[in-house]
Amino acid sequence: MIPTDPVLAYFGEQAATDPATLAKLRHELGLDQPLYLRYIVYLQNLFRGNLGWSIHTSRPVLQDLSQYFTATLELTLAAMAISLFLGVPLGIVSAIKKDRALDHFVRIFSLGGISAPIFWLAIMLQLLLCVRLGLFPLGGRVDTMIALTSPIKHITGLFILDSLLSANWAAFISCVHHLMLPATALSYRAIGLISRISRSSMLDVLGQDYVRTARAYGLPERIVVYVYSLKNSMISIVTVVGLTFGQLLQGSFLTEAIFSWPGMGLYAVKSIEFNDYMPILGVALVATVCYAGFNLIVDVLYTLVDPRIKY
Amino acid sequence: MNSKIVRIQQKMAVLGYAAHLLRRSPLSLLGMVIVLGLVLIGTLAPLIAPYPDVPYPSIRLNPPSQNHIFGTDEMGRDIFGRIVYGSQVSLTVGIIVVLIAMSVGIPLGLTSGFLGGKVDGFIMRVTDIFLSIPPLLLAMLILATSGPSIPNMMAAIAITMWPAHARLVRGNTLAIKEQSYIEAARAFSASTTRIIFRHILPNCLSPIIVQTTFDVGNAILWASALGFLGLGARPPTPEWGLMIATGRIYMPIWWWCATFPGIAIFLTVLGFNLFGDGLRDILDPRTRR
Repeated sequence: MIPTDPVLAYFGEQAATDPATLAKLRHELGLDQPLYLRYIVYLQNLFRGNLGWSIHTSRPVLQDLSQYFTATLELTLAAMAISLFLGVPLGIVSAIKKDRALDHFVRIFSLGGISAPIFWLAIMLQLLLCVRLGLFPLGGRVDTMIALTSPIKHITGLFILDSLLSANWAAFISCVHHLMLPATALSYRAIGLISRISRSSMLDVLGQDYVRTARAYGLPERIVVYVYSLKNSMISIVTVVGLTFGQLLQGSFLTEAIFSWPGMGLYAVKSIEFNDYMPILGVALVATVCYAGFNLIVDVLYTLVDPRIKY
Repeated sequence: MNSKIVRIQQKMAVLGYAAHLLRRSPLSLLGMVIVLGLVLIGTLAPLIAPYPDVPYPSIRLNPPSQNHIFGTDEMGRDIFGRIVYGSQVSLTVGIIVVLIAMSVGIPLGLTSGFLGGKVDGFIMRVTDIFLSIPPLLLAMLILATSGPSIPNMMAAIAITMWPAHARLVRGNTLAIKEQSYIEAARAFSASTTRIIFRHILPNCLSPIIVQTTFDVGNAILWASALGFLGLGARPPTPEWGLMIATGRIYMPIWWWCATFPGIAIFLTVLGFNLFGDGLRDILDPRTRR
């Protein structure tokens, strides 16, 4: 049974041999204090920018997170872009071609997305596309040789953006190549969710009286769909995009473990293996702030999509 | 006597219409077959599995063959048999998680929706707190501190699932409590408990049943994800996520160790999702597409 005692995690199993030593170590770490006091101390440290110390990296958690956060952000944003680029059009086309072959294909495709475990899908894609066909690299953010010969200048931490800004084309191509497979594996579930909601929302709008009136006036179908219907279905789509960000964030934890993507997810998984609590808390805090921040952006987007909504 | 016969006939008519709707959707029918098949496999696992779930070192990592249709793993155990035994673990986890989530979420949702005011505000703020953290991350946090085991995993997943049930039931309660028959019940001096359990809860059942079906599939998916991360079942439990995590070490040469458990998870979750879609079409005509 893996011990979950932080004292044993910090100082090893030998600390458990002497009760006096164990008590002294608990006092040094502040673990003999009541829970509410420990929480207050944590908050005080948090406001000072101190997220604690990581055992397995031997570095401050804040330093680790500043390095790993941008990798996760890059992966999540890439997956979000793929999900939107594919999911919304698939849902719309599926609604327009309701009950036809394309609709059935999209529905099965999206059901597959929400049913397939992300980690297993990532492993299968690695097996097929990396090992058998050799089309993509197995893992990492950039080719090792390129990282040594033409290192990427650190500007934002997002390798693709940084290589683009510094005109490092070899690194840019390598980064895109490394990002494609993890982002695709991560986005499949989100594509399924977004296309299902897009389809449902579009069907709701296409069944409205004003759409029937527009068709009765003889307006071309593309005007009816893209001018009159699409904007009114965007509220539901924007809502699900906000929810999808949370799904992508948690999915990235599994994807990073498969593709050795040096992000927060891999950091959290390794921290759990070492019973390293401070990094786990730090990752949870950052992920929650990102999730809440993205939902705030979605709430603001509502006002752009539907001018009737005011805060 | 006649009224009893009429009620039975009405119920048969409703069931007949439900069967008609289900027959119209081959995918929903497929989902129902998969779910029933899984329940059957889980129940009859010791009879279906061709070999007992014990190591046979002499036949380690054998490829799929006539004797072992999914091959053997690193301990020489039949993978097909372990998948069959694993269906018991997955079904148990899925059902218990959803039962816990419902038993917490439904009463809170009913109370929040019916009473309103400060009680509603307090309960909804608590659900907001739970909903603000991505569910898998919340489950990982809970398991990192409580330790990996199947009971802890079930509790962790249930903690992430109850807010959705509470929100769903609250929404339905808010709509139903404004109905005139509720007002009539109040006029007849019906107690709050009677109104909630006799009038409101039965009318909330349809969306609850649909949500529950989807949630069983989701619970199985999350349990396998946590098992993959080493936060769920411990070896030698034949949990599908754990099998994938172990089998991954032997990729790509011994590819069958990780492939077939994943297909099992995929088909199971797909079955519940298809069945949930079909139930939604039957129980809520407004969402019929």
